Amino acid sequence: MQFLTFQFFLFFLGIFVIAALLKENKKYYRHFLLAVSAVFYLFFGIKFFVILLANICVNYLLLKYSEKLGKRVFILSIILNVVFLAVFKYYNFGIDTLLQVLNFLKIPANFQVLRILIPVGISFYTFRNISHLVDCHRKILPVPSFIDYANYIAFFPQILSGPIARAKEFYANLNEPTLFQYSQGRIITLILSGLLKKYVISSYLFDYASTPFTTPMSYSSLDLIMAAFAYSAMIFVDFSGYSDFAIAISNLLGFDVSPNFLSPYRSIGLKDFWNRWHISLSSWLRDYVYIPLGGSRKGTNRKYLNIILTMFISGLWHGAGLNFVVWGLLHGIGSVVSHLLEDKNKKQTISNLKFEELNAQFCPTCVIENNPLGVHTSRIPGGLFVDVDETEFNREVENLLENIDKNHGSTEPNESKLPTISQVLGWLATFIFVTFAWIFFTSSSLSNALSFIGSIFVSTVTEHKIFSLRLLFVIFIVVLFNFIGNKTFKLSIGFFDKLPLILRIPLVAVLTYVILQLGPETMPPFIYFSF
Amino acid sequence: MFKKDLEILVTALCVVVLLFFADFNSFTKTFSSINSDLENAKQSEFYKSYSNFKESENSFWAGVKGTKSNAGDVANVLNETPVTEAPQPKEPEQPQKLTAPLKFLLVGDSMMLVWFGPALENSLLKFNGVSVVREGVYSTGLNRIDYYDWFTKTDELIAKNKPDVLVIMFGGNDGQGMLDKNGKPHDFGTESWKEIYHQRVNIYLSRFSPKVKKIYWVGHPITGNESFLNKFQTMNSIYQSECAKFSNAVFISTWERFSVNGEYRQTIPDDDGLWQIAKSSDGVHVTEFGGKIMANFVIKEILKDADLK
Repeated sequence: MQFLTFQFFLFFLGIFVIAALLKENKKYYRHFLLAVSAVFYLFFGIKFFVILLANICVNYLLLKYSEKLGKRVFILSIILNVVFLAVFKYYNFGIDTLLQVLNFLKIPANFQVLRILIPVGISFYTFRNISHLVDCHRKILPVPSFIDYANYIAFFPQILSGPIARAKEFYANLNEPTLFQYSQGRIITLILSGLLKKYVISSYLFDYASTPFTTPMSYSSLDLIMAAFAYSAMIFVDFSGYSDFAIAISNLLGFDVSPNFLSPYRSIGLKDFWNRWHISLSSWLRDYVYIPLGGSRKGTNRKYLNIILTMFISGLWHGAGLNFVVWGLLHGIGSVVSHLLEDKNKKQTISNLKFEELNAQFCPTCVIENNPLGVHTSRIPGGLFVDVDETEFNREVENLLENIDKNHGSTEPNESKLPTISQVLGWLATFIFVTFAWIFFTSSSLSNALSFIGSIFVSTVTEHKIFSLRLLFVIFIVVLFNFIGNKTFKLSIGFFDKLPLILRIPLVAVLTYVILQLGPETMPPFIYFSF
Repeated sequence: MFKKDLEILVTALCVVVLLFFADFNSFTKTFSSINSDLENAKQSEFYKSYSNFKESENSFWAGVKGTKSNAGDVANVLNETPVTEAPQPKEPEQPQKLTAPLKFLLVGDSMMLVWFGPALENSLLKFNGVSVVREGVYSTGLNRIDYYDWFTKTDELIAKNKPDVLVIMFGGNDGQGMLDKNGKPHDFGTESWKEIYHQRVNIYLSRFSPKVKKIYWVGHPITGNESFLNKFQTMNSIYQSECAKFSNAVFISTWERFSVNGEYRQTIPDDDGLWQIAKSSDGVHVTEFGGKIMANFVIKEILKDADLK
């Protein structure tokens, strides 16, 4: 059962009424939520449900035992989860690879293989399991009750495709005496924004952004370039539209969720991009892959290697295939370049200032007593604060550098000022790079991606099947949305919050009607559902 | 209940009610088969002016979107008399082979959109003088004309592109109840359903058979999905028998190509003997590898009638 269906609307309407009545009684409410999540998941099949149930039970036991028996059980738990995900997700890829090897070795390979269906949302709930295990191991989180744990893993608004909310925030919402108080303006804005993005814009772009990647030989060079930009626009509206829905539904049930997208296509540099794109995943990768790998604590070169490794893992998480590996590596290398440039700029900025001044102004809690020379700030990463608590260290340095950005030449274009040429060029380079990398992401294989790129240069087709001013306009609107979206979003929330109910109803009805009329006849599938 | 929750609930319900009245036409279309009173209401002057208004409104939205509606009306779309007789055997003569330049039009559902369709297009484009136009739309077929009217769409595609060869693949979404021309529903698998589906396929072929040199109707390969097994067998047999009534239509059975010793297997060998996963986990759709196998198989059939290099 997908969100954008009348079936889901009726389902949610029913549970929302009961939820509203039960919210005050936490004991019953958490049981009710779990039951609803179970029913929702059962729509995808009893087999998937049994797998999820078993997964939750096993992980809960591991959580309990790792608390008592220590690190070995913890490591085993992580390995089990990774293997569990890999078996389902990379099974077909593994079988095909095995068969290719056997074929190469001239060994008969006509044996029957098991038909394995990938459980819905497996990538997302496995990541939740892993982060929960790590948080408990790090003592950031106490082992919760089984009901709470099962609620967190199976929470139906987020189980299919995220956002990957953190357990700490989830339990805080679940166990607070009063649940999260949403604003009606926010809910209406999120739902209308989700409908517009997912139902109208993504569906419109789908026709232009799908077939050229499978048959590039049939398209002109200009068409292929347009298709790449159309895909770039489509994956943003598709996934962020879906996230808007997931967040709205979570809010309605009393759960606050951080935004999953923050205008990613206004980024300057890939570091900036990953702070804005699929934030729940990128922050998960930062906390549970990048930092455990050593983060920036083991020297600059190791930091860059860790960035590349993290992005490589991100590529593998998205799918089995060399195209995903290349996509991850491209982002890894691009992020390293982005970090290199930024680190250089920051060192330059910081070295021009006295550290004590900076410390007093921006980072009053930073540890400076171990500094023998009165501190030369360019040595901050991996130098002076090496013994400071890792999390605190990162937070303090980030705060320091962020504040320096704000006050001494931020890379972010100032809303009130015109952007500089270097900012415009930086933005353009980032957008083109991200779009180029999406070619590998959306192609079915590395060879298809290379064929697509090759066709851009060698296509002999002169007729333009895709290029049109309307498409160009839609892509432009999506990009523009990244620059004015946040402001519009806040304005819309304020507007609907202030509007009396009697006016709000007809206005929402008219807007919904317009969106539905602008929508397609046949709705394409949600892209991130397959991950 | 919180005041806020109540207000949200009231907003949602009111919006649904308002939307229902705003798009009453779609509602009547959905329920017309079970409510005869609506049929009487449709004859009223009010309903007629309402329908006219909706029509102009739909044109407005289509103009904004830059597309036109592909939904159709069963009664209006299916107005031909079905061809009932198989073509009379002609005097034996040397069949004229199709030669380049050749334009192919590929139409169908998700199979034509993903994996099989692209593989076929790519393979065809490797021949000199061949051009391809492909139109695949998710969740469509010949059954739900009210949802997507492939009869009119194919007509438009042929008028626009003037293809020499039409390659068709439908059926994956047709295994459901169907309305006849009078709006009467028929359950899938019943004799009356089969009769109506026969007519649909027949009318589709009779409408486009004179407009192209050759039609290839690609049948569904064997499936590992129990619920589709009977559906595909039923529909393949209908496609085959209807194609036999038209001298330039060929049914291509892919059933056996995807089976191993007559049974469904997820992995099958390609023409070079490499075994790979050919069917996706749903047992219905083909994988990229399966799409290539299917495309090669269809190309071989096409090459029996065409001289392409």
